[in-house]
Amino acid sequence: MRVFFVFFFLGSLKLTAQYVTFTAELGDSTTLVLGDSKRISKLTFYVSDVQLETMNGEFVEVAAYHLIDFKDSNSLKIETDNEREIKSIHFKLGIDSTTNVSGAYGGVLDPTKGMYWSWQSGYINFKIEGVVQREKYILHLGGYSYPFKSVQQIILPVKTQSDEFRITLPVDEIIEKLIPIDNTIMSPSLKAVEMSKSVSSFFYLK
Amino acid sequence: MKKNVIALLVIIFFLLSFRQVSKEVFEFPDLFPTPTYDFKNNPLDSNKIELGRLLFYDAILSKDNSISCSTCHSRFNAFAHNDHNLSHGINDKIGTRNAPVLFNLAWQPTFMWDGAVNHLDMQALAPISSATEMGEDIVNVVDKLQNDPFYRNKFYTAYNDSIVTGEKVLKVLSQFQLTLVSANSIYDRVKSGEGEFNDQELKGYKLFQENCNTCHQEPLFSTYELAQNFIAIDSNLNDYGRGVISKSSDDSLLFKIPSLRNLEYSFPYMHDGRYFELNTVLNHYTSKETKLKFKKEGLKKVNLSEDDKVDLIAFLLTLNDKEFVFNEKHRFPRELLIKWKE
Repeated sequence: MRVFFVFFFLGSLKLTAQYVTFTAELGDSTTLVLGDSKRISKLTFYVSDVQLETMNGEFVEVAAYHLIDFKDSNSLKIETDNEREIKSIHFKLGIDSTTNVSGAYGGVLDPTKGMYWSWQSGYINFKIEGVVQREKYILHLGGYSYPFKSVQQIILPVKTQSDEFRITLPVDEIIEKLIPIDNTIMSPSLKAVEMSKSVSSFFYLK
Repeated sequence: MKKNVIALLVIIFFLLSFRQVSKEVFEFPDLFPTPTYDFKNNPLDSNKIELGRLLFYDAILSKDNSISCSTCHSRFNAFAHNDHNLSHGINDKIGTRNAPVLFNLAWQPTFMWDGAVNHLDMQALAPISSATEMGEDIVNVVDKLQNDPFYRNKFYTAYNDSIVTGEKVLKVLSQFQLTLVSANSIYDRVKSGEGEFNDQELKGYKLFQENCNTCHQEPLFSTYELAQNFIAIDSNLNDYGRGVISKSSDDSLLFKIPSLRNLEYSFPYMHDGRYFELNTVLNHYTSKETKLKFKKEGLKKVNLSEDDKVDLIAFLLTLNDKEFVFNEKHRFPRELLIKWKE
């Protein structure tokens, strides 16, 4: 059996270099125990309100909105001028409700980025698409208003100070735990909220 | 030295005033409430309004250059689709809903019949992307405009930058549509003390206030909330309105309340355009079946005699705004014809 790691390093934080880097290590296919192919063709998601909490409880803003696209290595890096030791990293998976109801934005929030629904308003917070066991899966998680509000706050405690902190999303967890529940989600729903919670719980600091 | 300073001030003043020429103030009558649209994020500017008008009338927004916004939202019909119950799109595809009128959009908190769009800026994405309307993608729209020297120029004039973005396209479309203010009907003139209703219209006005004003509230003639219209579901369309978006049975068959302004120009009526005459709409609301449904929902029944209906329609026709539908500022831009010939 081939062993394959499907890791997505959301971020690596370089304190001394004064920027946050995001690196992706992601294979396009792997082997399941059953021997079927699994593939990821798209993995894009928003992180917003990215902040570093310093040891004395101050918050340093790193990015207001950022779009991670594993096919675009430039998107995997956020610059910061912080040089202090940090206690934890705070960020949201997705876009807050206020931004969702305030009209058109440019930059990473421009609707041409493919992360906005058209037939109803709202950003798609998290997109993963691919094939597993010869079946297509497509998860577009989003929704900004109750009961479908899907943006998630994530706080990752920093255990050891380092030049590089990597926020990691183990994609295998999504494929093994979430795709079997539902492999097609393309609109706001309670299931999308549950999945958003699950995805946010998978992130960890490597 | 002093002369130089004065000359400099004159030049600065001249430059400033030059820039201010394009700034526009959003004008609306005192009778109207404060707009819900936040102009701070998209301040009106005559160059942007003009660019928005060009895009509104240009089929470049659609996949095969066949459908523009104005195809289904024509000026003479208060920007609705005259005589068509359901809107048409590319390859003669027919949609599931009646193209709504476009005016007084700055006061509307949501858009589309199901209220699925929460901001005017984002509304255009829906028809652009819909397979039965323009069948296009905002990414392609931006590419097409970016590769078109005419539009590159226009974007430069509007934004001092020729880079086309999705944000800019959506915002200029909003700008033009925000200028579609309809507030010059007989009703408006009566309210501002410049005119009077005749006896029949006055009777109709009272009937309106007693029976219709809860949902079709003055002076916009809609609260722009979502409500049931109690028409039977069309089994071909199976349109459950808001319920489809919210996935809640409580919202089943809720549709956005349309304004009663400009009814003469904007038939047919209702979200699926099933009624071609105002009388038919009134007959629906006063029918036995509807009354029973109103009762069940705890709503005040609409009671109108045949004479009442005639009077009520006489009043409703005072909401027609001829100046609006013939407003030259909103017409097809001739510049497009020249562009198309080239």
